This record gives sequence, structure tokens and C-alpha cells, in this order.
Amino acid sequence: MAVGFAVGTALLLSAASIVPGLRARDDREFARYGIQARRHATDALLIWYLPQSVGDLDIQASVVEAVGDAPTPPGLPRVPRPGEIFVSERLAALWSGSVGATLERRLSGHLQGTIDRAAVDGPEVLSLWVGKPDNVDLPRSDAYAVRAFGQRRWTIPLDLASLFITIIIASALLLPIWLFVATATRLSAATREGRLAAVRLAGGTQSQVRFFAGVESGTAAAAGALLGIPLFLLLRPALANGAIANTFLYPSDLTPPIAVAVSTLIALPILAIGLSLLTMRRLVVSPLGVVRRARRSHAGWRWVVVLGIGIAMLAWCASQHAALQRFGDIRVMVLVGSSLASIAFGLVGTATWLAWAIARHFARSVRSVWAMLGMRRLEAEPTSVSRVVGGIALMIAMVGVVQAGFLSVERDEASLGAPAAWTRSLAPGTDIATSDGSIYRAPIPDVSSVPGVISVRWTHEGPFGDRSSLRTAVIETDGAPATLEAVRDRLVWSGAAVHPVDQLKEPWAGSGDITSIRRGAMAITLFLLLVSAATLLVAMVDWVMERRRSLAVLSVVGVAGATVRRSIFAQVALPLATSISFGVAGALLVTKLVYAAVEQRIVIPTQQLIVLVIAVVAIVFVVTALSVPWLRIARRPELLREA
Amino acid sequence: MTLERETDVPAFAATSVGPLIESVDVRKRFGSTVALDGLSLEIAGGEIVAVLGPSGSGKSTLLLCLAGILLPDGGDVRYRGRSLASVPDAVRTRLRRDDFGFVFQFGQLVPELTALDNVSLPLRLAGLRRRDAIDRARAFLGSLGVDDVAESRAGEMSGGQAQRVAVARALVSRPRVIFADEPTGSLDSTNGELVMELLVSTARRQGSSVVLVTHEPQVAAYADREIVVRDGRLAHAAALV
Repeated sequence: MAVGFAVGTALLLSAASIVPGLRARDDREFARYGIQARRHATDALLIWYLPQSVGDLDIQASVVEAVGDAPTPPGLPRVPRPGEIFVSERLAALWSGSVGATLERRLSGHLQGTIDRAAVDGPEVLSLWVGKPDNVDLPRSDAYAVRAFGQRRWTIPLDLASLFITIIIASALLLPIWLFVATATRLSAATREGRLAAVRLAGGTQSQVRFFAGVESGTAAAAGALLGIPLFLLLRPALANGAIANTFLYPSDLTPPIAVAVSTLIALPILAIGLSLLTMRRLVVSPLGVVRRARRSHAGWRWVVVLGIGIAMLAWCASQHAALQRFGDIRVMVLVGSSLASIAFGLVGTATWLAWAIARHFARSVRSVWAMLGMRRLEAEPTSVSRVVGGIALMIAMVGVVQAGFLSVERDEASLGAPAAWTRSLAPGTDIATSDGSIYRAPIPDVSSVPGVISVRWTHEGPFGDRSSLRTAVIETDGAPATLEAVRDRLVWSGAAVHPVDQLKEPWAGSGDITSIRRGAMAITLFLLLVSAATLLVAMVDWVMERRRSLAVLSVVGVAGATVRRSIFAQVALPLATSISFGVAGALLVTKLVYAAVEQRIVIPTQQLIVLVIAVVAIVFVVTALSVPWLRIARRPELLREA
Repeated sequence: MTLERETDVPAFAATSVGPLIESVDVRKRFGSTVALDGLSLEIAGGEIVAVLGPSGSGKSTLLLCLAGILLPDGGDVRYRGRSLASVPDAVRTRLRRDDFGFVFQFGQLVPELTALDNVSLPLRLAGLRRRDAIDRARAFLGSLGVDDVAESRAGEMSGGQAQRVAVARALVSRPRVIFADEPTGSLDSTNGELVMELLVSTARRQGSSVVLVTHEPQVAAYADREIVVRDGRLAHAAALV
């Protein structure tokens, strides 16, 4: 149990540290924003943003010149003097190779030091500040004149309704983790039955036994929560290394707010006590042992009502196009959030209930013993394993919605244009194009005389068919790497980014954020699937160990191990089938309603859904198979002696 | 309606005219505790044997060894002339399914199954068709006076009802041997007598042997013969009939 809470604590602390981590990155970004000076200010720092490329590395280069009492760029000890180069930590690590030599030659400078982390967005950033060499003439009109650095970050005030929505989303994301913690608690409650029975035998009342169990859970949870801190510190570097929507962070930035961390450490033991008492409400602890009260009726049909209300609310919201599209309409957002929560819980509850109803119907008529055992078990206690399986299926639903949304946006952006004729006519790897003509202000030096350059022509058509008033130069070369670098040398002070045509970013990849967020969402989903798999394994082991006497009896009366194993697979397969059916159907319904509401063209992520369904089925069955060794232990007939 | 036994278990076909079950110098330890210390015993077909003794004397361990649930550390247990230790676990499992029936003090019903399911389970495991197994189980429950709880689960029955259902499950497949460990231990005297009457009369009618572990002399009185176990050894044996 302590291990379960350690994992839970580590995950919760990780989740709580994401926002501070992203906020710290934002703070760094805003810290280096300059406050613009008047056009002819006498005390200002002139900055020319001239991106550089070496090989396939893109470097943010800021060329500076002090005028009067100029402000010092953030993270630097002073304003770089002519030829002095200060680089980010990442670039410093690459400096000893050809990168450093090329940049020193190209910028007519020398490495002076590194930029303090406080002024570098993240550990992956390649950036440099260089003092403008005296022999380089750059027009002041192209420079940003800055009188100070550091801007206040623009934030949206979080009102109560937004907070409410945030909590719903966070809870939904953390649901598998909570489920894991709850299952770990339940396991602990079930496996200490011997001690609890002994307390009853010694004269303890049922409520005293529950109190002891609660204190035991709380103590174990507190120990686990403390263990979770070093576990979190171990996880942090991996989390910082692009795991959050492909964003790189300094590990130290991933620090949860102290109030949240302390609250988590205090709340988890309290939660454990509460869960322990809750899960024991159906346990009858007698001096002879512990018996779980079976449930004959299952009022799960109520979840159908919850599901119906959720769908009705969402459908109504979808009909309110205008209000929904106004992002500020909090009432609609609350309604949408509530309806999604209703649908989520309704889906899990309904799928669980349906599995129970089917099991109940078929338990009497199935021919094989294993099917009868599986169905009867599902009928007697439909919730423990089914809810975990249902939760996993629900995740598929939600992921389906998110993926569908991202895919729709991606496809829409992708349909902006087809590759331009000039792009298609060039063989990748042998030609060079300049892109991002928006920063062409300085006269572009003639590169046609650079050895290896075959031709230069100008066009208003971008490489992917997008037309602009700005021009792009298409430079045809012999394709040698040295030619590319020579062209870049020639264009060093022009501000033109020069890339091989096959390395140009597509227009919609400029919005590569969508793709990376979608991939990040998929990564988070897979991570949560793993957490859910761990939960399922704990639940299965819990289930097996709690029923060891019953399983031993089956063994004594001659039920073969294979029959018991098949019955357990049947017990899992039925809720899995209903949950996946409901999950996918729910995903499609919610997707249709939500994207119809925002008038977004819907793209059903069929492939992703199929992959996820297969992954879920595989995970559930593999995890069930992993519980077989415990089954072997639990069904030994000699356990009857101990029970 | 007859119960068709599986024919793939030739290991325990009768090999000679001798005792049905025989323990020879059986020894069993649990850690440093000696449970059985060289106990020898023979049980004939159709015989009802009561095993008496104080708590911790080794009675239940003897029953579990005789049923092949525990394997002895020394000595041997033979069923129909064949050593139980010499056959694989799968064969012992089939033996428990086809030839043995069990009644324990409490908790032997599978909790998620109804009484009808519990009683029909051995029949279905033995290959009887579902409908036939259900009919026969229902009839058996009726003969033991508990047909009214046929659709109930263990948690929904009284102790006496649950024990009668357990007796029904032990006897329904006409086993050659019934192992009963304190079958009336959790019942009041009225229910205890009722259960014993049903158990013994049905066993006699079917020709089943019964190994009856108890510490109650009035329960032991139902047996043909009683043996007393003390400190893992046979302390006394006497015919009661």
C-alpha cells in the first residue's frame, strides 16, 4: 500500500508541478522582452534579431550595440562589447565542435561567457547575444531600441467558474491516479483480514476494527507519501525533457507550489483513511474472518439517467453556437464541463451496469462451468474490476474527442495549400531556399557569386503554395554542405534564414504546436493507460487474494486451474466489451456534438481509436494474465487449513 | 438420469480387494510443529469412521492428507491401492472431483454461486449436461429440505441451510468417499442433528464411505467406528456398531 501511495504522490506532485514549470518558462521569456525606447532615444540598447543556422541547428542570435547608458540584457553581466559572444547553456555545450568555430568566424567574435538561466526559456534553447562588430554596418532603422528589459506577464484572472472547470479537467486527468490510490487502499484493507479478525476475537467491536484499519491505512499512506517525494525527484528530469507537450523545462522549474505539496502530503493519508472506511463498509469482520457482503441488486440503471442528462445538456449547449463560440461565456463553459462530467460518469456506470445485466441474464443458461463462474462472479460483485476497466474505456472516449479535435485542426491547416511549383521541381537535398522573407530589411547580398550556387530567383509564392507580399529567394546550388554554409556566411547580417528545401517547415507546421500537443495528449494517455494497467493489476491481485478461501474451495471440489483462469478472463472480457462499446460510442457522440457546436469539420480518428482499442484490450488481458501466479497461490487447497 | 464419469482417469481403478483408503505411517510437520507422527489407518468402502481428538491433535491434518489435499512428509496415503503422492496434481484434482465429496465447518460454499449452482457444480464438472445437472441438484436440495433457498447465495442463507446445501454438494455426485471436517461445528444442536441425519443416511444409501472429523461424541456416534488421535498418533480405535 505504501508503494501505491508513493507512486500516487509522485504522480500528483508531477501533475502539480506542470503549471509552475510552464509558468517559469513563460517568466523567462517575458524577462528577456525589451521595453521599446523612443525612436531617437539617447540611452538605449539597439538589438538586431538575426537568426543563424549551422548545419541543421537554428540559433536565435541577437546582435546588440549600446547607445549611451544602455540597459544590460537579462542573464548577462554587461552589454556585450563588439565581438563578445554570450551563449545559452545548450549552445555552450555544442561550442567546442564546428558550431562554435563557424559562428565565431561568421559573427567575427569570440565566446565570452554563458547566459544565465534566468534569461533562457528552456534547456533546449540555442541562443546567443553578440556585440556588433565595429566593421559591420547595420541600419539603425532595422534595430529594436530597448530602454529596459522585463515585462509583466499577461495573465487571465481565474474566476470561480474557470476554477471549477479547471478542477473538473484536472480531476478527469487525475482520475486514473486516484483510482490507483483507492485500489491500493482497498488491497491493504482486504489483506489484513487476519489481524482484523484477531482484534474481533479479542473483543473489539466492528467500529473499533474499522478505526484500527483506518489508522493503519493513514499511517501507511503517510509513509508512502513521504517516499513519493524522492520518487518525484527521480521522475522530474524525464518529465522536464519534453514529456509535457514537447516542451523542455529545467528540472528545477518543476517544483509544485509548497501549499499544494503540503496539502497533498496531508490529504493523501486523510484520503486513505476515508477510502479505507468506505471500502470496508461492505466487509463484515467477524472473529472467524472477513466476509464481503454480496450485492443482489445493482441499481446501475441510474447511470443511464445520468448519461441521458449529460447528453441532453451537451446537445443543448451545442445548439447555442454563438454563446459557445464566445469564449468568455462562463455559463456555457460550466454547462459544457458539467455535461461532459455527467457523460463520463454515466458512461462508466452504464457500461458496468450493462455488463452486470448481461452476466445476470446469461449466468443461468451458459453451458460451460468457466463461463458460469465468471458470469456469477460478475453478477455478485460487478463493480471492483469493471469500474477500472470502464475507466480505461472512458479514457479512450475522451482521447478520441481530443484527438478528433486536433486532427480536424491539423487537416484544416494542412489544406491551406499544395507545394508550390518551384518546390516540386527541385530535388530535395540539392537545392537551397531562403524562407521567412518577413525579416528582409537589409539589402540582401548577392549570393550568385558564391561557389556552388547555380541560380538565384525571387518569388512571392512560398514553398508550399502560400502567397505573400514578401519575397522568397530560391537559391539553386550543387547541394554540397559547404555551399550551404558559404551562402549563410554571405547572408550573415541580412537576417535571412537559409534552409535546404527539404528542411523547410510547412506553413501548418508553424502551428506544429497542435501536432506536438496532440502527440503530448497521446503520450499522457499512454502514461495514464499504464497507471490504469497497474491499477487493474492491483485490483485483480486484490480480488484473487480476497477470495482465496473461495478459490481453495473450488480447487477442493475438483475445479481445474484452467477452468478458474478462463472464468476470470470471462469476468474481465464482458465489462471490457461493454465499456469499449460505450467508450467509443460516447467518443463519437461527444465529438459530433462538440465539433458541430464550434462549426468545426469533424475528422473521426479511426486509426487512433482502433490502435487504442487494441492497446486497451491487450493491456487488460496481459494484466489479467499477470495475476495468474497469484491465482495459483490462492487456489491451493491446503489454504483451507489457514482460512 | 445417471452421472457419466469421465473415463480418462484410470489411475484409481480398483486394483485389489483391500481398504478403500489406507494411511501408512503418515508423518506431517508444519515448521517445528508435528501434526502427524506415524499414523496408520484403513478405511473400507461404505464405512463411516469418526476421527476424534482434542484441538491441535492432528485430526484435520489427517483428513486433508487422506483426501490428497496435503501430501505427507513421510509415509504414504493410498486410495484404492494407489499412492496419492505418486500421481500428478491434476489427477488428484480429478479424484477430488469424481470420487470425493467435502463438507467443512463453514465457508465451503462458493459465495458468488447460488445454492443450485453450488450443488450442480460437481455434476457439471463431471460432464453432465447443464439441464440434467440443474434438475438433479434441485431434486437433491429438495430431498434435504432446502429447495426454497435454491436461488440464494451463501450470504443469504442461515448456517443450517448453508450446511445442508454443502452436504448436498458433497453427496450429489455419489462420491465414493465423503470427508467431513466438523460438519456441525457452526450449528445449533437441532440443525446439527438434522445435518448429520441427512449426511449419514444419504451416504449409507449411496454406499459412500465417510471420514468424519469431530470433537463431539454425539456426532461421532453416527459412525461405524471411531478412532482417537492424540499428538499426531492413533491413541484409540473402537468399533461402534
